[in-house]
Amino acid sequence: MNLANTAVESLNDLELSPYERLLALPENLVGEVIGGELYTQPRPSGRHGVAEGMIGAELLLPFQLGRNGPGGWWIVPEPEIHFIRDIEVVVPGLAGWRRERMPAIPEGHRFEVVPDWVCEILSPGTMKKDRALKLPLYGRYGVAYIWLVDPLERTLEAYELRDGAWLLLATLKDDDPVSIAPFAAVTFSLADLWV
Amino acid sequence: MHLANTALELSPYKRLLALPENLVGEVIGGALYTQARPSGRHGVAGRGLTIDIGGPFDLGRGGPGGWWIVPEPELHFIRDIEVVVPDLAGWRRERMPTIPEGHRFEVVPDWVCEILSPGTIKKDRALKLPLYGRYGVAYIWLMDPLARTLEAYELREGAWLLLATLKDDDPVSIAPFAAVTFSLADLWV
Repeated sequence: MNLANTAVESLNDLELSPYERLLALPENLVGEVIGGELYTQPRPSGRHGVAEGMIGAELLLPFQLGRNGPGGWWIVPEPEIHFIRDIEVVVPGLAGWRRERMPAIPEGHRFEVVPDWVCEILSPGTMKKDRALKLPLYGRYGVAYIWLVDPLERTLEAYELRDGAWLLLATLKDDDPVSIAPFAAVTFSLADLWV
Repeated sequence: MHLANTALELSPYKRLLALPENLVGEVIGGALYTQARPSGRHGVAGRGLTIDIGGPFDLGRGGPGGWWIVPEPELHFIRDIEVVVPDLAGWRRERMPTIPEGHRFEVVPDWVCEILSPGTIKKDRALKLPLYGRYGVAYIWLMDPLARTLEAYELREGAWLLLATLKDDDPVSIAPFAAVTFSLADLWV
C-alpha cells in the first residue's frame, strides 16, 4: 500500500490528469476517478472474489446465454464505466446492460453506456466510498438497479431507482432465496456466494 | 441457566428479563437475540447524536422541541413478543405525550437510529430494518462509526427510500430533523 501511494505521488509530479494517472497504475491496483479524484484499491480478497464470481455465475447462463432464462443481457465483471469519458470513471464489481440499450460489447476497455444494473461487493476498506460516493453517483447517472453484497456480513441489499432516489427493495441474508429485480426470472440461494 | 430454561420452558421474553446486566436482549420473530455492551466508539456516536438531536428537539434548546429522544428504549411492537432495542428512538410528543411508567415503550416511534458494528450489521440491516418498516416507523438512520457514514431512510408506502448517505464531516440537515444542521464530525472520535 505504501509503494502504491509512492507510485501515485510520483505520477502527480508529472501533472497528469487523474485518468492518465489511473492508466499508469500498476497491475495490482484498481483505479477509479470520482469527482475529479483518483481512488485506488488493491486486488480484492478471496472471499470478495468468490462472491463476485458466483453472482456472475448465477446470472450469466440465464441472462447472457439464455439457458433456463430469458437472455437479453450482457453481464460483465469489473467493467471500466465512463459516465463522462476519462473524467467520471467507476469500476463496479459487476455490471449488466440490456442488449437493446447496448447491442454490442465495446471495442477497447471503456464502457460508455450507463448500465441497467450494477453490483458492488462491499469490504470494510471500501464501505464509505461504495455507500457515500458511488451509490449516489450511480443514482445521478440513472443506473436503474443496484445490489450491494457484503461477504463478511453475508447480506445482499437490492435497490431500485425511483424518481432519482434509491428505494430498498429487500435485504437478504445467509441462505435466503434470491429472486429480485431486475433478475427476478431466476431464483438462486444466497449461500452460493459465501465461503 | 440452561437447565432452568429447559425445565421451566421460559418464553423468550422471560429469558430476556433474566439476562445479566452486561447483555442487551431483543425478541425478534420469536427468537431471543443478545449483544454485549457496545464499544466506546459506538457509545461516542450515540452521545453525539443525543446531544445534537436531543438538545434542539427534546429540550427545545436552539430548536423547535416537540420530541422525546430516548437512548436504548425497549420497544414492544407486540408486548413481550416482538421486542427491539434500538440505539436511539424519537417520538413526536403529540403521538406519545408522556414517557411510559415501567420499562416498556409500546407506541411505535417516529424515528429510530441504529449504530452499526461488525457483530450487529446483519441483524440491523436484514432483520430490524424490515421489521421497523412493517410496524410503520417513519424514519430510520443507520450510523457506521467505522466507515464514518450516516444513511437516512424514509418509509414510503411500506418501503425504505434512501434520502441521503453522508460521510466524515458533512453537514447533517435531514428529515425528520431538518430544522437544525450539525456536523457529522461530532459523532466520530
